[in-house]
Amino acid sequence: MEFHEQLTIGFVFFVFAFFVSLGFWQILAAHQGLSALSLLPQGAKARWSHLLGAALILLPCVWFFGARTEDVFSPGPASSEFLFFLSMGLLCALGTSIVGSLVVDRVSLRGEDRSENPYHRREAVSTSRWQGTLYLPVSDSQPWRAVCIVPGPTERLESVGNLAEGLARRDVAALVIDMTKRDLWRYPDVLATVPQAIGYMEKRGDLDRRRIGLLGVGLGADLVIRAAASDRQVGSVVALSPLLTASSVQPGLDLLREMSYIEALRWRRVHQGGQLVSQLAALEYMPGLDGRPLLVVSGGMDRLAPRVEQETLPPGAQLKLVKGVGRRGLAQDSEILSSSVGWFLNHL
Amino acid sequence: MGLDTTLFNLINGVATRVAPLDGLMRLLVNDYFVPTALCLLAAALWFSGANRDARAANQRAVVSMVVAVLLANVLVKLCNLLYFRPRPFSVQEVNLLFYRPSDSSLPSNAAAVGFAFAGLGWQRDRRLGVVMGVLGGLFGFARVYCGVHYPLDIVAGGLVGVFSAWVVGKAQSLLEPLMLALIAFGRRLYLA
Repeated sequence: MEFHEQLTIGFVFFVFAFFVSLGFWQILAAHQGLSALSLLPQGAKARWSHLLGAALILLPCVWFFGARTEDVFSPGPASSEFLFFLSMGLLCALGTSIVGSLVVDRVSLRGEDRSENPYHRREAVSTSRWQGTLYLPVSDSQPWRAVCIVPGPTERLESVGNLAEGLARRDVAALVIDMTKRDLWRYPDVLATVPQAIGYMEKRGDLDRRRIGLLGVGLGADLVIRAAASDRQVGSVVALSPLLTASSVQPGLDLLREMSYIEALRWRRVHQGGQLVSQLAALEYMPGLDGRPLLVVSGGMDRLAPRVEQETLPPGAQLKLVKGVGRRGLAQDSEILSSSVGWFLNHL
Repeated sequence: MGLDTTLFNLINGVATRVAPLDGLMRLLVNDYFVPTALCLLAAALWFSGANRDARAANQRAVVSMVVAVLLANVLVKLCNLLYFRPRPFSVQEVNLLFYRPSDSSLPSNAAAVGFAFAGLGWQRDRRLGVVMGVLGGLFGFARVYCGVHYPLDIVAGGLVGVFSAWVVGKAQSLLEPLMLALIAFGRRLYLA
């Protein structure tokens, strides 16, 4: 067989392998909950992913075995060539799934309505160290209670917008710090972030300096526990999916269930293989809250956070496990939103 | 070889008589369908498992499958160097539904690969072993049906595949460093 004929057959098989692999990744993403590989928006039912995957496998099969019979029934590639083209197809389809999933994520996030609404107003806050957004209630009941929200390094401001809006709607001001910059997480400098934010809130005349709470997400939850233990002024804390132990920070497939591939790369760099979690030592600092109210919330499907038991928490702390929720989307979950807002209304 | 030829004539004699069956066999006999399906099943095994430990055990099985397939290929090549058996279409009238391969008929490389996968699949998970075994068996049967192998070639190829899987299964401790390195590499890429 001529070289160019072999090349043609190889290319045709590569195209076939690419689309079949794309279908394979979609079925795998649905079956294993690997949202970082899904070409459908977050929240789409698994059966749609299965359907998409099945279609992506069946259609190329019909094309390849139905319309390319001449190629299929001529001397095929040797084992090594077959493996090469199949591996290339698998890898290219994997890359397409990762990039496609990122694009779908960005588009769906952009589609979310974050415009001003009649229940709160927003102010941009900028200090020498960090930037953030202050969500203020519109009622006249000043000074308002205030909560400082610290997202994890992979959470964008918009991802905790629901929480901040929910608090502002119930007359609690919320300052969301943008923690996406890697430099902000450098230890021990990171310990200064929350005290600075509290200092900022104290200076504002419209916020009640005696009723300040903290809410953290992921590594941000570890940070707020540590900050609250060192600052007796903090009246109440909510920790959403704290990491607590360095073993929670392991590279591997589980990360792709909870975040996009790019976020997983950033996650690993910021967490420094668990070193930062050990340095923050939230579990050891928890008793330092001295009975002040602490709500620890974990998602039942969170593959990263360790399973926390009520017995391991200090007095005054309460544990809430929300079934069917993973780390991703934790801050947007309506049950978690109402629990967190309710916690601050009752304990601040 | 009498029984072998009789069996071959019995199976290959059906070819070209039932068009849908011919279509199915042509789908199974080619160099792409079953090997792609087996590779994707192995890839699915790599990613399955309720937790890290279960996944790591599956990933070890996948690495073993790759090694067993390589070993089966080497054994088939060695057999070909020692003994050449002409293809059925070279020595008798057959209903040929495939192209004319030029290498030795015995042992069947296709069956060796299929059963090497199946052997390791069986060691890890009985159901997976059955699925892979059925695919390997159909692959081999289609080769006889389409006139490119005698039944004995398939049996010999299947034995080579099962033997390769058995050897690799017994040599797990030797493969451990390779397995650990590949799994660690996969984890660094978030793919294990």
